[in-house]
Amino acid sequence: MSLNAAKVLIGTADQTTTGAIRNGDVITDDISSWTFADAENAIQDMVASGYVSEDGLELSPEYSTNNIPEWNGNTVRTVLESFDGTLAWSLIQQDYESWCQAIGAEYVTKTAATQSAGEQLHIKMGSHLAPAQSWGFALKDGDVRVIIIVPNGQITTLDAITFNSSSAVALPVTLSCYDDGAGNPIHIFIDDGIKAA
Amino acid sequence: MRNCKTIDIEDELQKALNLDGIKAAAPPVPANLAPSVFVYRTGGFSQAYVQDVNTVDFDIYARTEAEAMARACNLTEWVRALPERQLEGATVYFSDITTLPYNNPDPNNPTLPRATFSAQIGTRVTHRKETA
Repeated sequence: MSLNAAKVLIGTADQTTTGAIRNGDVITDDISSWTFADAENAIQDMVASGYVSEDGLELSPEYSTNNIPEWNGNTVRTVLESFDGTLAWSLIQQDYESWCQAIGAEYVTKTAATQSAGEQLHIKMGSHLAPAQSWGFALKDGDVRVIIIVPNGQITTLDAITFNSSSAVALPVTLSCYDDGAGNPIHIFIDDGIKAA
Repeated sequence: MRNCKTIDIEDELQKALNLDGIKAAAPPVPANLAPSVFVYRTGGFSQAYVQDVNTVDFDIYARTEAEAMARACNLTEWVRALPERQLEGATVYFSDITTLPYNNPDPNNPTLPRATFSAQIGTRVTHRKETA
């Protein structure tokens, strides 16, 4: 493989007027044969988030394995026991869409602004999780574009929300990625932006 | 071969400012140029293999201290919005104001009020096309 620094990527959000993290209904179709264009079309139909914190997006593929030692203690084989993929980020734009992403639309009530009051939210936190949904993450670096699709994922962790006078209020969430029916909870699509002559 | 070149951010920011109708020029400062913006890279470092973090000072000259400060405050908005554009074809990843605007009289031009602020601007290096 030839060395090419142009293919060393920095993971910035692909956003202009809307956020780079999107969610929609669970995708039940097998997306194994999707192209980048298919992924691009899919995220257009999803609801976009607002701003995400400067820490960006963290994808953690966790392979749980078990070693099989032989009589004298040497490992002769390692077997895969499970795969657990998660994505984590912090939403720093406090609005209806962000709270719906974090805890589910069922638990967020929005009242439109009136002449005497602004738009109001009522967020109901309790022993319930947001529903499973599909998720799309749009990233770019110059002409390179990356789309991550999770066909069936659920926010399963909402970490501590800090209210203080020196930082933005953030909703730090973790998305658990479930099997898409074909054994691939996470799909990553990359377009290197270099068009053929 | 690594093939990564640091962009001339002073030149590129001056071009971008002028494109947006904000008068900017290269030093030295002529005595009759106010109001105007001067851009200086005062340092920085290389990060993440293909990313440079530039420390940049913006000097804003105007007819009065109040005008220089007002123009500097306005310019911080322009600088914060830099991640939406490219400089010399290089992506701007982030642009943070690290020192807010302050009155900074120029001893070489004592009759021209000057305000200064600093920013850290993360840019991608540029890559030369490979030749056979």
